[in-house]
Amino acid sequence: MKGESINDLKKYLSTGRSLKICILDNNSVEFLTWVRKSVSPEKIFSQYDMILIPKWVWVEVCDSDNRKSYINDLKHCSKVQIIDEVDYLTLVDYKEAELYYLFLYCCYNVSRLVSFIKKNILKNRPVEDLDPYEEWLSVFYEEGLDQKKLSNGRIQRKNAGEISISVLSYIFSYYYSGSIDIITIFSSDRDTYEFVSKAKEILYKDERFKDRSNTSITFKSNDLLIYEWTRLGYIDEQNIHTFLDSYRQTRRIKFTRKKQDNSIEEQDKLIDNAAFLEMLKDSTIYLIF
Amino acid sequence: MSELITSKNLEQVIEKNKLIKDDILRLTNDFTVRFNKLGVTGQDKLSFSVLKENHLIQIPIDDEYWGGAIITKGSIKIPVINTAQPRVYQYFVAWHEIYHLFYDLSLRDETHNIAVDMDLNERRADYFAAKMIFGNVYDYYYSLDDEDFIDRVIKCMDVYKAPYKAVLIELFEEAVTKYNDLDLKEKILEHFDNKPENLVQKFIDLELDAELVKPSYVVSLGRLEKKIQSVMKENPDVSHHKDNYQFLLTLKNKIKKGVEGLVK
Repeated sequence: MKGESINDLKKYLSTGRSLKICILDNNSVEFLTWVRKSVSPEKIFSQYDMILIPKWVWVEVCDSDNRKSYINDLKHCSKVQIIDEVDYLTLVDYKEAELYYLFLYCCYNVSRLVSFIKKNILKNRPVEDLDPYEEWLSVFYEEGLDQKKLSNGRIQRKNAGEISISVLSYIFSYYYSGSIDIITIFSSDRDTYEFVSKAKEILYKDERFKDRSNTSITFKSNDLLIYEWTRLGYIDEQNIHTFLDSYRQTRRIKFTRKKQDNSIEEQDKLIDNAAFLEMLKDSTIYLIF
Repeated sequence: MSELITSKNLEQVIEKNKLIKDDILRLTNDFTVRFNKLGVTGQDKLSFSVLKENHLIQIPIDDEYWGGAIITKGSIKIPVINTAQPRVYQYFVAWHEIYHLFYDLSLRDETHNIAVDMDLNERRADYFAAKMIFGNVYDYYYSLDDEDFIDRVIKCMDVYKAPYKAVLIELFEEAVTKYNDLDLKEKILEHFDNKPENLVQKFIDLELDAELVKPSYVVSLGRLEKKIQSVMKENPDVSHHKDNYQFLLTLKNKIKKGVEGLVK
């Protein structure tokens, strides 16, 4: 979206309603296309006021016609918007320096990118003297992010999607906390999760952000969706075995478990399908990611 | 390190040392009790092994005045040592940085503590280093029967693995404060500002191991490689650890190429 429509979005975000927002990552869209026959998009998305996809993610989505048509069909259940990263500046009310820090912190896990940003974007100047946002964003995208040529000829930029999702979610979290109740990222990509977590750690310490109110950012990984769907009865007990065999592999899961005395233990473990099946039956478990 | 010490301000340095002596001796005892649990006996090995536990970075930097530093980032403190400097300096700098790492109040908090007198603070770090390195250098000096003053000092450098000026300052302190040894005092003042030009050759002439006065050019990035390898193993589905590993290797190669230039 460009120009006018970003201002419409801003207006919508400032209405003061308790909005529920969902941001989609490419890997989740792929997963959702697989399970579409078992769980319809309406069941998953009708609870959200808005489904958002950053443009850098949208480019990846469009590599597959299945994914693209899935997104186009989502328009029936909720407001779907693709947001150009250039428009992030409008969303933060033109606070260019703050936007710079959001990008920097969302890249913090990748040393090479931090080094690139400091050397080629900040260039040893005070943050007030940065080049215009649109210019440095394009330098960052074109030269900073590693690239790989895909079989369809498109150049894929490594980490572009994860970074864009993280920045966008923090923009909503910090600049529209008054009207947004929920920001949920649909992603099973551990990198996305860690980019968001690392940025949170730094933002909480940063003088510019630490005392501001913000909406927390949560995740729905594929495993969390499956867990939810079995609870809601979307997948019945007879089929769950086949469902897991077809759509799930061994994966690291972050979760909590309530002990007998009601205290909570945290775990981060590699879980195969057999163990996952047990977890689905256990009501003392809450999946985090 | 502290202000440049010359024959002109040597007496003042000794005066400053008097003020901090009790404090520093207490710290050297504290260090031995707390950090040398394995009973390492070589002072040079001990300092490096303690620093390595704190992710010491060793890189050659083409700057003869830059011996090392503690880099602080948030609550993390990382010691760095310039391995393009002769080993004797590295050993001294290692102890100097240990003082900053464990005992420097201005580095203890995240916020810089401006109440600390920076000059005196650096003196404390140097004095701590000297007290960790030297035993009874005065008696050792007199046990040598060489007639030549410089030869004796070089032999002290060899035994204590200490820099030229550090030996002289230690000797000067003993001569002035303990023995009122005016003859030695004069000799030190006479030679203090004229460090022998070719120490390597002097070591060879005296049949000593000249490696001590040559740079080591070690490149070591604080166990980072091992650390990243282990998180990669634990989290195979996180790609940024692999990226960081590649970045580290590229960086290391770059440094090693730079070193080749330095050695030539």
